Amino acid sequence: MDDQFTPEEQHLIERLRAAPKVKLSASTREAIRQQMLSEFRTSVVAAQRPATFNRYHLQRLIVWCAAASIIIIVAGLLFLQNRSQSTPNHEATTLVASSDNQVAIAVASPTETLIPTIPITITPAPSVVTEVPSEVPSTETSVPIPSTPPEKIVVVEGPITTVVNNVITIHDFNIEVEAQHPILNLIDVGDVVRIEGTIGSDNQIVASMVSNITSASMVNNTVAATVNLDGLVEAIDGALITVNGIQAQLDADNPVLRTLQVGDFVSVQGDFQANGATVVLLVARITLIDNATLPENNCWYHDTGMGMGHWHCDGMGMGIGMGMGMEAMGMEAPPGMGIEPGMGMGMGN
Amino acid sequence: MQLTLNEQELVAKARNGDEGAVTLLYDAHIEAVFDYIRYRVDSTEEAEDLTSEVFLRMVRGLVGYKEQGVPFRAWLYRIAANLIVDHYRRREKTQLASAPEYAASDEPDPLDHLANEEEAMHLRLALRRLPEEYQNLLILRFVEDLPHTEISKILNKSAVSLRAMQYRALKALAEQLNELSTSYNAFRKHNL
Repeated sequence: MDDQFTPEEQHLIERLRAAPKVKLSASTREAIRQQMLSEFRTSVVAAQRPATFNRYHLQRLIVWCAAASIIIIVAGLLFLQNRSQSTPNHEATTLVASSDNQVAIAVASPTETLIPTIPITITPAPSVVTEVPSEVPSTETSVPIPSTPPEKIVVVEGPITTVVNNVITIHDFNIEVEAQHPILNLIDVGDVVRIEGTIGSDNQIVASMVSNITSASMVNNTVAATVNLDGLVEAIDGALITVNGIQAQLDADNPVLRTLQVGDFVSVQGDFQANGATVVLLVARITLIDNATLPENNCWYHDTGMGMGHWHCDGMGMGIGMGMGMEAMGMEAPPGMGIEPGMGMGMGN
Repeated sequence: MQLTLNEQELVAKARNGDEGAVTLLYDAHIEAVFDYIRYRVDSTEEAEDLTSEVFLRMVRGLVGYKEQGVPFRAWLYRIAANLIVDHYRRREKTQLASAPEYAASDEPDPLDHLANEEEAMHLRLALRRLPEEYQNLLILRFVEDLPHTEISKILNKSAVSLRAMQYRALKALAEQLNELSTSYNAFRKHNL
């Protein structure tokens, strides 16, 4: 700015510029300097140092750790949920088609581990092969088929397509069962079974456990059931009864024995156990079915739980499949109507 | 000013904790800041206290200081101006505000001062009777010899408004000096 001043103004400005200034004393100047430097060391210099880990930082760290833990837990749960839902499809990718039939191949991926607490969804979908780590104990007791503990256990569940000698086919998976296994006398085409086994040399599943109870069947605190047997009592020998030609061993003090008579219709659940040279069904639960509930045409619906079951008709074929919760809905499909997605016809018992 | 070319470099070093740099900044500006404050307050002691506070605030604010194209001293003057305002606000709470009268001043008896000291005292008293903006402008422009560009930054005024204000401030200062001169002459006549 180019200032233009009057003489009076210029005189005044000269007075201001020429005015004597008060000098700051050396001691005061030094005192102010020291005070300033002290402040400088505590503010600026301290700010240059790395932040110390004080209580505030500890609290922030704890909050962050807690938040991170929650995120990890939630992510883990979501991951497990998604894995559980996608297991059938995922496992389907492990299938390899052989020349004749598809077989289940347990392809172990180091990063793929099934948590034992995850319920295995059982559906009659085209592929229902589930790989279970060998160290995971099954909730169902293995039937007494001596076998070497498998490294990889394959679980197959679904309706039986065919039974040829001791080879059961489920969803085109061939499962070899021990030739003398008594379960072969109980199962038939259409029955929904659960089979655990290992992959044999010919890519055929070698069953180590066969159960016609597909749901987890812990019927009491000590005995698991893998076999369900429904039928008429043919003989009673103390605590050993015969149902449909299968010997079933009851506890001697089982109260059912007091009233049980030959000709009664029972539903038995238990495990096959070796009894000397023979194999008996060690009964975990026996239910006496009231004859009055049987339909007049000698057919009955056996609910195996989870909305699944099958119809039995004496002297007739039986439609076997899934009731899909019809009983739970207060509905009961009559036999022969083809409502159930039965898997073919076979000889009825 | 002793430091202009390397001032921003000094500021940068001071911000990084260089004690020597902050000392140089202090030495470069302490006298000017004190002068400015001394013209604005009643006593040397008050000016010293406020000057000390200016440099304390300087070091506290170094981390957040941003260079805005004006000398570092402009920032110091701004701190000083704000401190003076606060100083008078505080004082108004403890005692009734009054324009500094000649007789009410805590300055020593003017008869005990030499002529140049009387001149300095007159100027300060006259300035103190002016509005705050006028005081700042006249002191910074003619006592501290700052250019208008810096003053406009310190006072947050445009150059045009500063020019108009400068005219009014000089006129007001002349009036106050005349009043003080009349009063002082009467005082001396009465006491001699």
